[in-house]
Amino acid sequence: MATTIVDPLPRVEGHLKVTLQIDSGQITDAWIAGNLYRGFENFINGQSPLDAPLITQRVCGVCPTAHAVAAVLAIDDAANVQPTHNGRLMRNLINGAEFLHSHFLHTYHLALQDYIDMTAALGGSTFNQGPWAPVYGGDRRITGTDLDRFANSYVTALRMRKDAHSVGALLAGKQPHGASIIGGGCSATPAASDITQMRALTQQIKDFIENSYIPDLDLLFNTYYPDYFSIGVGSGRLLSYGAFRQNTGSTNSMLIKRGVYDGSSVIDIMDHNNIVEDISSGWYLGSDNLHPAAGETNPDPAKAGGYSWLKAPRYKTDGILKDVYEVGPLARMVVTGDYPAQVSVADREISRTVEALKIANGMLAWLDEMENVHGISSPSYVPYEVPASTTGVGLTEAIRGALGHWVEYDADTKISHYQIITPTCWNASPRDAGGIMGTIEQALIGTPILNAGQPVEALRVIHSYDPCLACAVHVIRDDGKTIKNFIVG
Amino acid sequence: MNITRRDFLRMAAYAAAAAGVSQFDLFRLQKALADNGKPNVIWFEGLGDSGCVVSLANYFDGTVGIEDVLLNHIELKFNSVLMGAAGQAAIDAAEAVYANYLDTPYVLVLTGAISNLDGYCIVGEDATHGNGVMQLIEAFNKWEERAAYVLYVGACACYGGVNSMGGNSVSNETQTIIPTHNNPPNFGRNTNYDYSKSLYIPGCPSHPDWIVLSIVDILTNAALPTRDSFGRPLSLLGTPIFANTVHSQCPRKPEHDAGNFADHVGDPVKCLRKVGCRGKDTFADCPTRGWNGVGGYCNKPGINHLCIGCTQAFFSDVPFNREIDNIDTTP
Repeated sequence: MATTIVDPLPRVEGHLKVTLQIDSGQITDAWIAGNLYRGFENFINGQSPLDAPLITQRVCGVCPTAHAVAAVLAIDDAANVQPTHNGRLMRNLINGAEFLHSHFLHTYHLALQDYIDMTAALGGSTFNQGPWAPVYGGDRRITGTDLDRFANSYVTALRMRKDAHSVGALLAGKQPHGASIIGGGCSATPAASDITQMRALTQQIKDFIENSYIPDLDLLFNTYYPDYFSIGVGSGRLLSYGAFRQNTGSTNSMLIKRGVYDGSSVIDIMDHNNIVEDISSGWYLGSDNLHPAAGETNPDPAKAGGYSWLKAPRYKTDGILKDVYEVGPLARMVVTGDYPAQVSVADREISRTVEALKIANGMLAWLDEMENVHGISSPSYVPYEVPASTTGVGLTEAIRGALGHWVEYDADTKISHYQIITPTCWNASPRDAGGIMGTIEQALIGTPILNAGQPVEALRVIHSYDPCLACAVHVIRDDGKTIKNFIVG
Repeated sequence: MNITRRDFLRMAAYAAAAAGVSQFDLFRLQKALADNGKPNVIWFEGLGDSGCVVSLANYFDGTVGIEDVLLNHIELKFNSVLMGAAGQAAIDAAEAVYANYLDTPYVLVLTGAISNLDGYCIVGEDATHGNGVMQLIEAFNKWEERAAYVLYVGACACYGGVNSMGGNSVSNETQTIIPTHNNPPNFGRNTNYDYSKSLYIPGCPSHPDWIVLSIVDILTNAALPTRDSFGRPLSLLGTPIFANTVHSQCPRKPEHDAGNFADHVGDPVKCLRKVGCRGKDTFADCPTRGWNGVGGYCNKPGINHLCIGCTQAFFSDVPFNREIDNIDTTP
C-alpha cells in the first residue's frame, strides 16, 4: 500500500492538495483539501450592495463575471427589480464569452497535459523547457501527426480564449474583472460597430469549436482514451441552477436549464431551500446542516475529524435525506437535455465542447435580439434605490458549476450577511456526517494508477471537474495557528 | 514547432514595436537580447485569484502571443496555473533554479498577496523541507534573496488589493489629497525585502503589456526602469505606463472641465467623477493603451463605468460607488 500526496497539484486555479491511498494499482481512498484562505464573506460585510458585483468577482480571476452576475442577481432580487432586455442580454454576452474563454483554457492549457506530452510536441526528446517540463511520465498514447494536431490546437486555443475575452471587453471595458455589470442591467451602451465586431469574433470562435474543439475531444477520448468513459464516475447525481436568462421574469426561461439528475431521471425542479451545508469534516464549529442564507463561519483548526476548509454542500433530493451532487458542464448539459445521462471523466470533458457550441450559438442570437428586436439604443439598465432590511438570492452558473450568492441588508442598506457557495465547494467537498465522500473523492476510488509516484491518472479525474480553489475556500481564519495536516496512517 | 534564435529576435522586436520604440532602440534591444540568455522565472501565487496569470495569457501584440513569450523570452520554471509538473517534481524544478542562480539568474514574480499568518497559504509539500509543508511566505523569503529581480504583479502583490479590504470601515469621505508621484503615502511595502531590485506592476488585473514590457525592458537595459515612489515603472521602452492620470487621458475630461457631471453610473457622455470615478487619482495608461485588443477600459464612453483605481495603493479603500462633492474643475 502506498500513500501519495500530490501538492502542489498544478493547473488548477488556487492551491489544491490531494492525498491518495493506492493499493494494487488502484486508488482505494482519497482526501481533497484546499490550501488557500481569503475572506470575502467577512470583508464584504458593511459594504454597499452596489459594490457587491465588483468586490465578489475578485473571488476568481478565471470566472469573475459569473460572480458579478450572481451578485447582481442577488441585489436585483433584494430590490425586486428585473433588468432591462438589453441589460439582460449584455450580462449573458459577457458571461457567455467568459464560459468560452474558460472552457478553452481548461481543456487545452490545464487538462490536456495530463494526456499529451507537450514537451514532445514542442521540441522532441531534448526539449526541457518550463512551464511544460518536467511532467509526470507514463500512459502517453498520442504521437506523430495527432500529437502535432493537439499542440497546434493548444496554441490556437490561446488565441480563441483571448478573442473571447475581447468580446467581453467590448461590453465590460476589460477582462478579467470587467466593470459594467450593475443593478438593473449593464452600464454599457454599445455602438453598432461593437455589435458587428462581437459577432465576427464569436463566429470565428464558433468555427473553432466546430472544426477543432469538438473533433479534438472526440479523437482524444473515442480513439485514444476510451477507458475514461468508465473512470471517474463520482456520485452520479447532477445539479444545475441554470443560467443565461432568455427573457425577463421567469427564472425557468433560461438557455441552460435548472434542475437535477437524481441518478435515474432528470427533474426540472431545483429548490435551493433544500440545500444544506454539512460541516462534519470541515474545520468549523457551530450548527450543522444550515441553509446558506443562515450559514455560519466559526473556524476551529483543532476540531476532531476535520480535514478540510471546505464545507460540504448537500442537496435533499426528496426534501429529507442529503445527497452528494456533482455540478458543472456535464450536469448542465444533462439537465438541459443536450447530453445523454452518463457520467465519467470523458463525458465531463466532452460535455464542455457541447456546451461551448450551445453558448456560441446563444451569443449570436443575443446579439441579433439586441440589435434587431429591442434596438441598441433601448435602455441598458433601470436605476433603483437600494432597499433596507431585506434579503436577496442570486443563482446562476459559473463555468465550473452552480454558483449561489445569498445576501442580507441591514437598516442602513448595507450588507450585513453574505454567503457564497461555489461550484468547487460542491465538487471538492469532504466527507459528510454519514461518512459519504464528496463527488471528486468518490470519483477517484477505483481509478487505476500505473505509477504510484506519478499518479497522472488521478490528475485526469480531478481536472475533469476543473476545480478552482481560490473560489472554493473563501472563508477567513481569525487565528494564526498551523493548519492540521491530514496524514494517512 | 522549432524556434530559432532568429524567431526569438523577431518576436522580441514585435514586442518592442508594439511599445512604439524607434529603430535605433530596436537595434539596441536585439543586441541586448542576443547577448543574454533567457532568464529563469519562478512565479508564486499568494492570496489571489490567478486573474493576473489569466490576464498575462491574453498577451498579444498583433502577430504573436503569450506562447512566444513562454517559448522565447523567459523560461517559466514554476507557475502553479500553467506548469506541467506536479508535486515534488515541481518543487524540485524551483529548487534547481534557486541552486543555479549564479550561472542562470532568475526573476521572481509574485501574484497575490503574502500572508504572514502561518498556514494561510501553502505552495506545496516538500519532502526536503522542514515539516514537509512549504508556506508561501517561507518560499518567497527564500527565492527573493537570490532573485536578480523581483516583480510584484497585480494589486494584491503590490499593495494588498482586495485582501486588505477586511477591517476597513466604510467611509464616504472624498479624497481631498490627490496623490502624485512625489508625495506618496507609505504603500505598505514589506521592508524585509530588497527594494533596489523590486518592480511593482499593479492593476486588478495587471495589463499583459505591462508585465511583458517590464520583462523586456529589464532584459534590454539589464536594470530596472525608473520607478515612481510606489515602485511602479514610469515608462517602459520609452512609452509612458504609470506616468499620467487616467483622467488626463480620458475623453470625458472636457465634460469634467465644463462641470458636466453624470448622476448615475452608465452615462455615456458626462464625467463620472461625482459618482465615484477615481480617474483623477489614478496613474495608468488604460485610456491610451486600451485592454483586450479592443481599446476597452472601465470608464470608456460606451462602457460607462467607474475607474476604480486598481493601480493605486488605495484600491482596497472601498466603496467604489461613492458620492464625491466639491470637485475642483480647474484645468
